[in-house]
Amino acid sequence: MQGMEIIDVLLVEDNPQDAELTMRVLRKHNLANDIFVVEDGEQALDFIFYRGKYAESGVARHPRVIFLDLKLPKIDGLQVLREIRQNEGTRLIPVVVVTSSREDPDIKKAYELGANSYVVKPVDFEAFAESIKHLGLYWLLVNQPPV
Amino acid sequence: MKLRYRLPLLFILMALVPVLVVGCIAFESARQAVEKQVTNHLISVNLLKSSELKRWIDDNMHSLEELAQRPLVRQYAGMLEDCDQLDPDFLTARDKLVMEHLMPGLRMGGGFTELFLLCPRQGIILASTDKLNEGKYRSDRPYFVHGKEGTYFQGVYYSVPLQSPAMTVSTPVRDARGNLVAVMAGRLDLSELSKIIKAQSGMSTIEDTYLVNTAYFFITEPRFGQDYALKKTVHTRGVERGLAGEDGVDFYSDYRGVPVIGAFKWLPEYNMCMITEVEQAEAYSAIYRAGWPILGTVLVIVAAVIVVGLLVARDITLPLRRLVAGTDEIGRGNLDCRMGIQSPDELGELSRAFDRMVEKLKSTTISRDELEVKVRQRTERLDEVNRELEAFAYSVSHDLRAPLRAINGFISILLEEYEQKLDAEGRRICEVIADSARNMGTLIDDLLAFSRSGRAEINSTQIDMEKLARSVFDELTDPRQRQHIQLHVGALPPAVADRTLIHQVWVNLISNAIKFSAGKETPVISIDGESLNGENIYRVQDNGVGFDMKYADRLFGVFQRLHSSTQFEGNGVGLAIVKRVVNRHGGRVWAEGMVDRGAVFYFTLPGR
Repeated sequence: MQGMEIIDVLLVEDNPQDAELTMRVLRKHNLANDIFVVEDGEQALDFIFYRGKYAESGVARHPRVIFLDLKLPKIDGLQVLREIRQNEGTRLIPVVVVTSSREDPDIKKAYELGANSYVVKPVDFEAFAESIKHLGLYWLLVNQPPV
Repeated sequence: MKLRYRLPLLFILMALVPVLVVGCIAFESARQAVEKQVTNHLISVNLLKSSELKRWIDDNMHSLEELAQRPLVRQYAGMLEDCDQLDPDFLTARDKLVMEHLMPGLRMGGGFTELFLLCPRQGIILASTDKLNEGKYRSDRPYFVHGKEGTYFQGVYYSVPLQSPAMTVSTPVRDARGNLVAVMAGRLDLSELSKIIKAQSGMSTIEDTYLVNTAYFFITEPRFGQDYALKKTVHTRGVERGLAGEDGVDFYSDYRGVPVIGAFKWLPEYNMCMITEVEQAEAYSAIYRAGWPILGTVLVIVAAVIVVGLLVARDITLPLRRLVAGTDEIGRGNLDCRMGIQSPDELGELSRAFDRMVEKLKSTTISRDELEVKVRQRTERLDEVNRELEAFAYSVSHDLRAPLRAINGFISILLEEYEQKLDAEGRRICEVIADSARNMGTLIDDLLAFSRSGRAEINSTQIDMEKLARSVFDELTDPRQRQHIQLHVGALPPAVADRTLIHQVWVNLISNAIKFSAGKETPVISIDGESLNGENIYRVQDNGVGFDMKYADRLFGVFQRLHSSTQFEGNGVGLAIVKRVVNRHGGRVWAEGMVDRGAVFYFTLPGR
């Protein structure tokens, strides 16, 4: 690893509209400028563990917080979470599980695997924007990261 | 007691009782017959022997009379009477008399042991076949006293000169002119008498006959006694009654103390009684001998009955035991078991009926098993569908929300960042799109809630309904509303139900009440309940807009609304959830209402 670059947020979200809306909210409130978006679990792991297409950059980018959707193509969110927590270098990164439904049977499982927070995306955009704003405020300004 | 033992026992009882009864009756009648026979026999023996005794005595008296009436005897007697005893004529006459008449008289075949002549005046023995007795005085003897008048018999007595029992007959001897010249007497042979008395009748039994005089002394020797005559007395009941002058038969103990049947007969001519006895044991021995074959027959019959009883019992119990074994077999689930008893009797019928029943049972069991398989398959299918439905619900909630949020979000961005480029109509249209998307979001949420109310497992716990209703009201209202609404909560019976689901029921009912009474100047909400006939009834009443009772049956349907959404928010899922949750708990829901007068919603839960 030649260098370490700290980014603000890694957003793992397969829905491009949600991703765009999330980024807009965070940027609008000047909470995060450095946001990286991946669309599935495989990309997320490649990014975090500096492999695949992300290995070429030669720089490991370490997010201050990961916003993780559970329902993802290829590798699902729980598996991504498990691998992050099992790796010595990444296990302390705060992971906020952001999902669409409170129907999700995996809430408990997510906490067991070490999720720091579990947030349901409200259907209503105002509410959604509000919760994303709060999340950004808390995890990027209020919360003191382990490193 | 088991049938296989009870039946033979019954048979034995049935056979034994009549056999025993008949046996007893036969024995008793045989005993009576024997008794009668013995009695008759004894009486006839007495009659026979008494008449023989009489004939013997009469014969001897006649012999004596015949001897006394011989002319030569009368002549010699007259000479003896006239002459002095030392006179030679006397001696001659005496010798002639003794030698020619008296001695032959002894040998006549009669029972005399001594014949002698007595002088009618002094009672002296003038002549005798026993020389030693001549010249002795016998003037006081009854035979002498009575013999002067006519023929006399003196019964058995103890003769002092003879030192032995004696019997004597006497008769007068008269001369040609009829003057009494002597008394002729003859001593009777007692052994001859005993011979007559003891002579056996020839019956199978051996009787014991003897004579007893009025002083209770034996006169003849009894069968079981030696030298008893005139030496021993006897006081048995037979003797007592005989001496009392009775003729009859009795049962008593004889002179030895042995039980006997005795016949007694009073002989008035001789002042004595005749007793004839037979030992009871001997008399009845015939019956006892006859008893053995009877007892043997009874035993044979009993044995035969036992065998027959066992066979019959086996015949009956064998099929029964087979039935029992078959029933057990079938009880263990082997429905191919058959009795197959072909006998034409009732047991056979029972067995065939049993087989038919098993046949039917088998077919119903088969159809039941098939049914079970079907039910299992359906259940599996249902579970599968349920899982699919759950997955579907999850997808709906997850995947339908995202596009809605996008619509919403981008409309907001549009309105925010491109407001200047839109005219009023454009902005209004954007608002409509945003509202519709929001509405759809709530619809999805409600649908999910409804689906959850039907799927969630019921975890019953004890619920304080009063407390729950109050806390729900507080959740649903802010302090300003609580000030405004008049709430009455009565004593609600506690329920045993799923807390989460019942919580939802209260939320839906109370929020409805709040919503529909909000327009009133003073909204009034009453919550109360009672326990009635084993179920708890709960009631939520408001004084709001109410409803028309003709739509009452539509209230609890999914997406059924009685008011437009512009009047009241909501999409008609709340009451459908209430109905579903209550029904799943085994309760009922219904409602009463009047337009503008309020509504009452009821639900019940099973009581304890």
